[in-house]
Amino acid sequence: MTKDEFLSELRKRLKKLPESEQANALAYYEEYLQEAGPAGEQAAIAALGSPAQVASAIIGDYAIKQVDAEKDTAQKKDFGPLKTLWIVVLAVIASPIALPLAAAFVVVLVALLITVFTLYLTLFVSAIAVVAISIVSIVVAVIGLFVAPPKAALLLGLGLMGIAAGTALFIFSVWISRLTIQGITWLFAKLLKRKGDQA
Amino acid sequence: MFQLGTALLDACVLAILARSDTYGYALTQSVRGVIAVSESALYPVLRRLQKEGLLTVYDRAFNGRNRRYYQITAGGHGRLTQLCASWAEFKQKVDQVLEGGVS
Repeated sequence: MTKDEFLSELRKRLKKLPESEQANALAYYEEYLQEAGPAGEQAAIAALGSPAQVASAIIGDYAIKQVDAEKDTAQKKDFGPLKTLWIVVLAVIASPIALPLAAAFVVVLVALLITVFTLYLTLFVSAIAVVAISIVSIVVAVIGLFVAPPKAALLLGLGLMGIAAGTALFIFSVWISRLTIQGITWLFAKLLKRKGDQA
Repeated sequence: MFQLGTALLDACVLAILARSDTYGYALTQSVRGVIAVSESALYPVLRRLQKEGLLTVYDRAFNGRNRRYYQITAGGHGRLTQLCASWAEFKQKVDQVLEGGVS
């Protein structure tokens, strides 16, 4: 593999990273191979490992940094937790591990995601249902105040409690979803990084 | 607890830069003279340390192309001091085990 082949292969593998990260890494490795000189170029390329290995080391470290950064600044619009998770998944698939292992990773990840997000969807829907029923109860109670005040007051109280509980459940489900995405991303980034270090 | 992989690598990079500014290739060779890491292990370390503000970079022309030099910051010196202290503690514990001081 020549220097140019190595660099263009590396460029392809880093596509998912932000522009500035790609440029920085490519500039570093171009300079690195130039330093090795024409005579040492082949040895340097062999010592660096395949572009795929080099890329997974970069992406793994970047993803871990990103997860940490997300913990610090709770909301980061340009680069949310899902995007980071996506980068890590792609990196795992693209990385040069044995294919069966890669397939197992992907299957486990997909199973995890489906299970967890079905659960969260249930939470979301329950929260919305509770709030909706509570609103209906309050409306009925307000009308009923003129007919049967004690019963209506009870219904009104229940309705207000329902809104509070539903809202809390909604906030909780949003919070736990974010946390789970970060957790899964972190786990995969760690796996990827360990592999990169061994490479 | 001293994290052998990451902390040791950070410490070696910062210590080398504390002596003088240097560029990626030379730095990699220096580190590899001491620790068995792959040649591709240093870039992520340098990028991370740069983002943490522990080192800065500047470019110099060399033979008609660019060389990016890495320079330790005040924060980097601070981290290096911490890491050296952790290392001393870690080294002492390992010495104790190796010399049979711990059952």
